[in-house]
Amino acid sequence: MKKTQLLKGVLDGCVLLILQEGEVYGYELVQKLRQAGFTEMVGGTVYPLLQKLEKNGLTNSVKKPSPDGPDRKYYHITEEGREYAEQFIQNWEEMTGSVAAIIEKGKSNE
Amino acid sequence: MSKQRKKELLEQNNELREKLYPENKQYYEKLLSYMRLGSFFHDPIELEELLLEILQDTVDAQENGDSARDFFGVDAKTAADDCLARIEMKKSEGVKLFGIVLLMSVFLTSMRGLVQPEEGINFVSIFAQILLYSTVIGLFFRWVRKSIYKKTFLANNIFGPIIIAAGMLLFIVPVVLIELLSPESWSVYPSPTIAIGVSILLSIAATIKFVLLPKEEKKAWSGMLPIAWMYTALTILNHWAPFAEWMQEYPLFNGFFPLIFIAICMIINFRVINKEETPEIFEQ
Repeated sequence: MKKTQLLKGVLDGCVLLILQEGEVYGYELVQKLRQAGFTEMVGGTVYPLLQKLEKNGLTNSVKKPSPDGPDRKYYHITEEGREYAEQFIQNWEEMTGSVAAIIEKGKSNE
Repeated sequence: MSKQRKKELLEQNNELREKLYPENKQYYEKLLSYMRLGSFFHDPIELEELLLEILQDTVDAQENGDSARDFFGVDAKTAADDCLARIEMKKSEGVKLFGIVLLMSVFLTSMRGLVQPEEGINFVSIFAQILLYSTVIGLFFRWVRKSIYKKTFLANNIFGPIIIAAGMLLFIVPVVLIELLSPESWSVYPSPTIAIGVSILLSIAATIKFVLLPKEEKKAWSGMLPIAWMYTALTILNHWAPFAEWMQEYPLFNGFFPLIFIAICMIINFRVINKEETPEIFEQ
């Protein structure tokens, strides 16, 4: 199974968790995801995701002056986004617990 | 307001793009052309804001030693499609585009009647040709956009421009059929003064519209403007006494030569659009 397929379902939650730590702009977010272990993360995956999160009201954005040129777009998490992130953590813990149990069972039967 | 904002965003984009190294610039401009050509019905402000955001981040990546490809990814086409799918659709943009295609079709169809007074302008023919031109223009842009990320047979072939020019010339068949089948009772015959006046006005309007186009869109239309000027020149020559007789004596100037000129313009247009993919044999 491809790693990207697994990633699709959890990336929304990961991005929201990063945004909980503070505002970020696109490139910063790509770097933070790479540092977190998603080493193959690219802008082409992040921008559509940021668009989706903003349209769904989970994030919002503000333009701030940049010393290098035009105003820069910074993303923030909304209250709705925080609720989603909490739900994500809960679901993730439940799911990883179940998956780990199945893997362990499979290993012990080998 | 939105027009001013769009202009501002385009200017900022043009300026900032100059900071990119050639390889990164080429990568980004491909993405930009692909997204702009695929967004005729989308909110232009939202699109330009996103393009500028990607550009700012690409410049940052470049400063950190990453190439545009490292930063945005290998599959830029899929990412661009995903981004476009999330940009709001705007009906007004579609209406604007329909207006441009309609104006261009009216321009192309009525020019023939203006050039040769005895032909006249037939309204049934104009309507049928508008349908024909809209379809062809639509297909042309679709093909241009498709060829940005896909090495199409025509873009990758040294005979590509010639095949395209031949295809354009084949265009004459439905045009002639429409002319033959259009009822005579729907024709009007403009006087020489009106014909010259209208054709000059149409050429001026086309030139102004072209000058006001954003830099990148100019590429797609660069071959069209000389065609408009050619029609105006032909109208003047056909209606202006000192040249009218001479033009009738040498019918090649109304038929064959204009077609060759149109074909040359289309080839140049094709080469401008596909400059990055042009086979080395054309790069002299």
